[in-house]
Amino acid sequence: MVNKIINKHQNKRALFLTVAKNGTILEMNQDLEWLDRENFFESNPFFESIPYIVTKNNPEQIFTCINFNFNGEEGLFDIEVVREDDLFYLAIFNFTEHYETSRTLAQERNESLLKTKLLESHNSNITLEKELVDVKNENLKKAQQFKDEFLANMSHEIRTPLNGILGFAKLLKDNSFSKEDGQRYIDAILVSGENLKIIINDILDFSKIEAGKLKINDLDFSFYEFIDNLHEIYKLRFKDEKLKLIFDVDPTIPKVLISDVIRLNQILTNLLENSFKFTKKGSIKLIVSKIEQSKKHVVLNFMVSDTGIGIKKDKLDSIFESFSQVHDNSSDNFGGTGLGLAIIKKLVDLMGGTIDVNSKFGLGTTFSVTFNLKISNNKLAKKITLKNKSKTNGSIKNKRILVAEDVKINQLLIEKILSNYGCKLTIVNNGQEAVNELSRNHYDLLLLDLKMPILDGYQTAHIIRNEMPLPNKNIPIIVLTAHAMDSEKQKCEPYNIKEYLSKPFDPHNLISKIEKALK
Amino acid sequence: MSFSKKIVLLGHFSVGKTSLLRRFIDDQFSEEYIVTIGVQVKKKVVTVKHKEKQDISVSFIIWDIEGNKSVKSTRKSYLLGTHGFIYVFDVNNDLTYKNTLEEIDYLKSTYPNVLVKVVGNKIDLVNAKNIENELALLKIPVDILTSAKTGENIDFLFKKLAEEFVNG
Repeated sequence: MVNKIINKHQNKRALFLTVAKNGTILEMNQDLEWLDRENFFESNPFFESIPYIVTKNNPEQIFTCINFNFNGEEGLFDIEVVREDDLFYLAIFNFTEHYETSRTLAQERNESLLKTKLLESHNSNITLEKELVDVKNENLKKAQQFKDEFLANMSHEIRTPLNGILGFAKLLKDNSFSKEDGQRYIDAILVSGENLKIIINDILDFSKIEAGKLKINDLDFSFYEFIDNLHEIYKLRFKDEKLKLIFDVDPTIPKVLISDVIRLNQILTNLLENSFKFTKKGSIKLIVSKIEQSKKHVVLNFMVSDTGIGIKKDKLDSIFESFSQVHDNSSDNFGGTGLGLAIIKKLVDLMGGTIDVNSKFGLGTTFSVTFNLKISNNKLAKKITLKNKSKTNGSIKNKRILVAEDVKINQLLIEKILSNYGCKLTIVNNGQEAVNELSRNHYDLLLLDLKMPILDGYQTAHIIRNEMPLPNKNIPIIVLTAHAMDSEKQKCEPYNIKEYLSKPFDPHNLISKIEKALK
Repeated sequence: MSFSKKIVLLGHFSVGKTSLLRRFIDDQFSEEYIVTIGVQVKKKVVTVKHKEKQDISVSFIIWDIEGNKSVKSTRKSYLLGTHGFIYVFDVNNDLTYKNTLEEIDYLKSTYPNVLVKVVGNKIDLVNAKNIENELALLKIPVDILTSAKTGENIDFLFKKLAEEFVNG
């Protein structure tokens, strides 16, 4: 039987087998004892496949380059199978040597291709990295440029009012001016100082918002009183007949609402200031309308519109972005840090409101702010103080006040302010001196600077509250700070501080805080 | 109860077909690349639960054939009597999966009764989420992502195949 396949491969060295369907080897041309004569197909997974891949329909097959273990050695074989009914004739040719040469070539070819691919991938990564570095450099360059522009702008904004303050102060020192000029110089110093304060407050507000540290303090407030105060402040500035100020407020708005009235005032003031800055004739309007009202809430829209120079369409999209100034060289012409509207937008967001802007270049601008405010159950709200009150009831006269402040100019300023109100002052240069003074004498109030040498304000307050005997142990303390940060207030919390006053402070504000603390 | 199924591993060279098989059969892995020429055949039995009857053993006879850019150029004798194709590509090498869609279409039209599983191998070298997104963008019908190196999803792949053979 095996001759059938042997004849086909005359003179070739091969193993020839005849195998029955059940795996029994019926014949073979070499006596290979290691072959399982009863279960040939099970001797190797390849042979196991033969009965169902070499079928009666496909009775002759050649399988080339089959890897398998033949008599304990891995080899590469070509196997021809011829099927006749249930008999399989196999010719197994050992081409290991030949195929190993092919394998070496294939290995080299594939490795070379893999290296090429790896190199391509590496180069692609290098290109990507280079692009990434370029993008990073570009961003860094932009950030640097942005920082430079911002610093240059801030420097300009801060130096301008500073120049006014120092320049007019020097003129005043000369003593060679008329009374009228003297008053104008003083007014100029005050205006410059106020401008400087606004700029610094903007920067502080912005940094607080960016750091997520600005908190909204909702309180009851009298809505109409708030609007009246605002109107009072602005009507004084509209003396020019070319420009009108119109306040139009819906009279059905509930009287007492709940919101952060200081921030609401900041938003409206900022928008009105902008209108004032960019409008020379026509009108500036504040229209407050009630959009809807339920039992507990009222939705209010505050619309500030002007007939000013307007904003170009392409600038409107970026108007609420930080450091954006919509008018070319606007800081040169009009001043401003470019932070105002960015702060307003963030404040409105923090207060849960929305802000929109509409403008026609050359015709005017309208800002629209909408808030959903709670209606208070209280009929009377806390008195709103948006402008400075200068009256005092004289209750601080003859009060013994200890001032702990290390900066001489501030000492002088406090001394001048409080002397005018008849206070009895003692001024010390640091916390240690304050403690010494309090251990010797009784005082009605301590004005305490936070940042001082030897003992700072916190350490001083700690000693007073924890180590000092009565009555000074309970002395009312007003903290003076240049930091103006909520974190400072938090650090002072354990020391029962009556009031906080941020530098630069308004003299009237100082007096009213002292009056309040002494009550 | 048991039966045998012939499985053929297909795909480009160096996608990890031999490593995948070695992990499944011997639970071993080597970083060294050794080209496969021709075919090597291995066997392993996987037992799965039949949905109605007792456990069934599936004897996988797995043909690990040399890598080819195209299934069409594979020796036809290797593909005879196949019950399931596992088409393997390397998730790190786009050359090995760019033509997957055409390859699968060819297999399904030429061998309509044969199960086809598409496997993205070497997943240990990439972020799985990124590659899933990329493959989805290229509309490559990948069935499973594996790593012969870590063994991730290798047993699962064959178990799934066995279940499909047993339970349909």
